Amino acid sequence: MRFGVRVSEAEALRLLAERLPPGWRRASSTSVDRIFSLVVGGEGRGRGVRRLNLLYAGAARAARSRDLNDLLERFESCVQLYVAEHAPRRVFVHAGVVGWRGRAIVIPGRSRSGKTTLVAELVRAGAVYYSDEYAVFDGEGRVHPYARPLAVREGGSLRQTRRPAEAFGGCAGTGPLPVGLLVASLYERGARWRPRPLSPGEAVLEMLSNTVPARRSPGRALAALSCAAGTAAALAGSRGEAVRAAEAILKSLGA
Amino acid sequence: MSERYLPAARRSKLVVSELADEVLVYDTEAHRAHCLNRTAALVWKSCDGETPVSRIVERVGGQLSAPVAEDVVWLALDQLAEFDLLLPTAPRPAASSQISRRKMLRRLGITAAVSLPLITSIVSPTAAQAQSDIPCNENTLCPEGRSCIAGLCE
Repeated sequence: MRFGVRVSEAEALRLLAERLPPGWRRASSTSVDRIFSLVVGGEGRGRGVRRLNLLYAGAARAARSRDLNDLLERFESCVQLYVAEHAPRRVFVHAGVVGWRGRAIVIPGRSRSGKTTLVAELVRAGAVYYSDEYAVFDGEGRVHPYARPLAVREGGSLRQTRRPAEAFGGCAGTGPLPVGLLVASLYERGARWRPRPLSPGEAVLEMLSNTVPARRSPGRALAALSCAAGTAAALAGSRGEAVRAAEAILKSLGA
Repeated sequence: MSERYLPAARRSKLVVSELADEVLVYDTEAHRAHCLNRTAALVWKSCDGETPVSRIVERVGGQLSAPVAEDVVWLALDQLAEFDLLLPTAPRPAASSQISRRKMLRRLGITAAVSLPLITSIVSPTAAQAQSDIPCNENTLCPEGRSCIAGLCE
C-alpha cells in the first residue's frame, strides 16, 4: 500500500516518518492509496495570535490542535487503521503477540483489556516480542511481526508512552510463526487465571470479534483465522496481575 | 402436521467455513458470525426444504452414530431460526413448542449433552472498533463508529 505525505515544514516530515507502521519503505511511485497533509501552526501574524496545527486525511480534516503530538498520534492511528483494514494479503487482528519456542501466543482483545501489560510481562519472562497492537496473519494462519514499540499507559494517564521491547529485557521477532496458543483474557482486579478451553470454532470467533477487516473481507478473514486456530490451543478467562498470568500461561506451554 | 414442515437452510449472503467438528457462518447482511457445533451443523446441512423433521432426526442420528431425540432437532431448528439461518417457510407445527437447552439437558440427562446443538454468535466489529482507543478532544474527530468519551475515541 502507498501513502502520500505533504507537510508545510520540512522538519515535520521526519516526525511523521517516525509514526509510520513498522517495516515501511520509501516508494518511487507518485500514485498513492491515501494522502495526508500536515499544516504546522505556530505564531500568527498578529500579536498573540497562534495558528493551530492541522491534519488532513484526503480532503477531510482529521484533527486540529495546538499540540503537534496530538496530530502525530492521530496520523499514526489513521495510517495504521487504513493498512490494517485494506492490506490485500494479510488479516489484521487487534491483539498482542509474543513468540515462545517457535510458536506464537496470540492475545486478542479490545482496547484497555490488558493486552500490552500481559505482552510486556511475557517478554520480561523470556518471550520474543511480536506486537502489542496487531496479530498480522497470512493466508496460512501464520503470524507476522508488527513490532512497533510497546504503548504503555503509565500512572493512569490516557496518553501512551512508547517503550521498545529491549526496555523489558527482550527483543523483537523477525519471521512468521504458527500459532501455538490463543489467550482471550480480560483484566479483572483480584481475579485468578483459571481459564476454560475454547473449541477451534470459538477461538476463531474470539479473533474475529477483534479483526479489523472482518466486515470488509469476511471470507478471507475466516479462512486465515481457521488455519491459525487449527494449529493452536485456546483459553479464555479473567486474569488478575499480569505477572501471575504470564507465569501460568508459559507454564501451560511447558516452561 | 410436522411432516408438512420442511425446513430450508438459508444459503445466500453467507460465508461458510468448515472446521473439523464445527461450522463457521458469517452473515454478510447482519455482520454476525456464528459457530455451529457438530449437531447444529448436521441439522443445518439437512435442511434442504424437502426433508421433514422425522427424516432429519434419522439422518443426523446416522451421521452421529447415536440415537437422536426429535426434541434435539427442534432445539437446533429453534436456534437456527433465531440466528436467521433458516429461510422463512411454512409456520412450524404447534406441537413443536420451543424448549430451552437447559430444559432439554434436564429431560435427556447430562450424558446427552454431547449431542445437544449449540450455536455461539458474535457481532463482528467495524474496523475502528478493532483498534486501540485514541486520545481525543473537541478539535480532533474520532474515526467513523467511534465517539469522543472522557478524552478517548471509544
